[in-house]
Amino acid sequence: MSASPAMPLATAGIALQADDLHKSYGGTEVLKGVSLSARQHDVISIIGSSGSGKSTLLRCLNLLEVPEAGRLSVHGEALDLSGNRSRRFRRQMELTRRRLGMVFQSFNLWSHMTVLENVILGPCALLRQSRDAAIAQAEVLLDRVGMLNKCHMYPDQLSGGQKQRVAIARALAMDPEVMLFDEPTSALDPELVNEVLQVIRELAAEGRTMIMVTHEMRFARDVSSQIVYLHQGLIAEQGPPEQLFGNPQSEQLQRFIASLY
Amino acid sequence: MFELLIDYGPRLLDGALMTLKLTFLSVSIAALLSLPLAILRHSGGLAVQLPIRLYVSFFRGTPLLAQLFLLYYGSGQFRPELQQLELWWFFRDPFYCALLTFALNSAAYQLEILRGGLQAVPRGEIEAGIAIGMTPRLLYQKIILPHSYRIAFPALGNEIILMLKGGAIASVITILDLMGNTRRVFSQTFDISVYFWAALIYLLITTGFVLLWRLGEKRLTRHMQHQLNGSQSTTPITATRMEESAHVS
Amino acid sequence: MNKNLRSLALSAMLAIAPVGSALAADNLTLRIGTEGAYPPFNYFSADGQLGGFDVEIGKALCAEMQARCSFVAQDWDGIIPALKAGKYDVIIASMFITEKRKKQVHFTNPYQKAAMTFVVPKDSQQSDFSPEAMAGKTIGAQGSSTQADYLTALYPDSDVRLYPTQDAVNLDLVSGRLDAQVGDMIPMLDWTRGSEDGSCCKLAGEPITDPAFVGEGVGMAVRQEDDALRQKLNKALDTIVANGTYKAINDKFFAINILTLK
Repeated sequence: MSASPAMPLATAGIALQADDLHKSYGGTEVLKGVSLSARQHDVISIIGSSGSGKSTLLRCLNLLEVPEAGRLSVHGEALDLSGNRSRRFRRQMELTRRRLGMVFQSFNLWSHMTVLENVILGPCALLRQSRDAAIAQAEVLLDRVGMLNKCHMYPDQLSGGQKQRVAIARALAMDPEVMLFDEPTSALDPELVNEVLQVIRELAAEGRTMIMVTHEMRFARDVSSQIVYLHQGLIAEQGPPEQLFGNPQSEQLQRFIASLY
Repeated sequence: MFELLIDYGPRLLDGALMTLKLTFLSVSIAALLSLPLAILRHSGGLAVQLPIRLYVSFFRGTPLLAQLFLLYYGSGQFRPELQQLELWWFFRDPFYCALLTFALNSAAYQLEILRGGLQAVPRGEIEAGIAIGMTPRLLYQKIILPHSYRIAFPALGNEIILMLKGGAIASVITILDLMGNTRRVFSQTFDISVYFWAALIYLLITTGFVLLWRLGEKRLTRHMQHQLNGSQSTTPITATRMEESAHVS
Repeated sequence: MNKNLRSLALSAMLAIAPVGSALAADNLTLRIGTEGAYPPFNYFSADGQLGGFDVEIGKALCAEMQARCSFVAQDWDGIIPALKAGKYDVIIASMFITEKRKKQVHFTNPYQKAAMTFVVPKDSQQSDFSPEAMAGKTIGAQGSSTQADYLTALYPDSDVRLYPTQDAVNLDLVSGRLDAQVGDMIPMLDWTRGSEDGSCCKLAGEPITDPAFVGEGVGMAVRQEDDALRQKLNKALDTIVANGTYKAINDKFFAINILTLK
């Protein structure tokens, strides 16, 4: 599939909509016009070989990278990215980011704060929650990811899997409309991967809207409502997992799946 | 030797108090100055960076004594102009002149130390802050500055000790600090042991300071204790300001 | 001679021998220490050579004593300790002879008369220079000097500031940081009348001649054990005063006779 033209903004039901995103580094164009649509409760997995631009795409959704052109909207509220980088634009970016939770491949927990402090910082500083309310919420979330008993420890004292679970709790604490995962298990030792996948699975089961970049194909197949296959900066194929994995249309996807087994 | 201590001990202690006062005030003012300058130097445009680099180059590349003389006797030459600007009351006083010189000098060093700290903040943690939607102010307040200061902490301690020792030249413009009083006592008694007592007092001050600073370091790096393996990074280094200024980058 | 007597004689000879390395040979070599920062008595000229009244007197004395002379410059604060440490053999630096200094060194006869004076800005109305009248005022002087001792002892209520060199004191009097300074009379006369920045100021008050601080005059200092050298210097001094060499040098620098202050 080639780059799709800009789609008209839909009504409620679309949690996140990205239209015709372009992103270049140096002279190289990494995203050549990508559009993505995530409905409420969708679980979208973005797959592709390295260099295809999947991480860049995810980071553009969160505006960690700012695309040169395109449109982004979260629950109908649009942001025109080809506008100038004014103060107002930056402020809009900050507000948008608060509605999107991000989980990084290398966890990126704040190492000088305890687990609990990591989880309550966002709500206290950005959502104006009182410290007590934030702590209460944090404890609930940490319990859900199985990290409550370590809430006063520092990230350095945790294993990779534990850190990632805390990172997930931290993202959830902001009550985001969409959760973004950038290869959440790629940096983990194999025996720790499952505990994180389990948490993500539970989030999917309770209806969270999620967009994931992952290498875990079996997991992606199990959990996703949609798979997006990215190839050289463009969406080559997208659809439900059975369709994509069972009956891949494009030659690139066929080769990609073959290379996995 | 000990009668000297009994007779002139109080004089030396007075001097020590003045030294402490001058050092403490100058490094504190320098700390306040260096933070915004370090941030500008780290992330500002060329228009801001260039003057800051010139400032750092000057104060790190010239001897403290020369800077002190320039300010003190130089301002004396411009008395009528300074009186017109109603600033003469400041430059008339050797203490303020020394304070200003030392503060500017220390700020240049602290600025560079802080800049190193700013550059060493883990990039991923900053990204996590951006991703969660933090404003730049919050990013600095909660993530960047706490990390920067922790990283810079040992080097800042060393800088304070250097300032304490380098500031001994204040006596050249009549300030009765520890060195000044020591010279005065010597000119009265011709007893060389007074320099021994002065050195001892300096040693006590620096050792006490290093111990306190290390305590602070321990507390600040609670979160990475098991990584450090007991290695300490704050030591009372023996380089003089002259040698320091030779390493102009 | 039995063994004991022989060793006694040997040690006696060894004990006398090192006294005053200056007297080791018939041809005397004399190292003279001076400050080099006290015009017109001792200073560095533009080409880096030591010059001034003290230096010329030193050269005249050496010529008289048929000695080979060299000059060593030394900061004022350490000028006596360096003599005792053997860096040079005599100090000719317009040093006042005082009791305190006599405990450390011995002096030749005076080669200048000594007096101190207050110096104030030209427009100053100050006429009373007693400690009470000067209370709260800022007075400067060179450190480790008789002026410093004088002010420290008698002017506890004034803000006394001590400087490493006389020049530094002068600079601060000119710039107005000091209300007054106390200095040696001759250099102060020289400075106020002869130099551009010194014309800002004038001598004031009675000359201070209290021997408790001013001492017996200005002399040359030698180590306490170098008595032979001291006598040689005295003899040479008498000679050059008598034969007019002193006067010739005096007149080169000063309008009055500084041996008598007339």
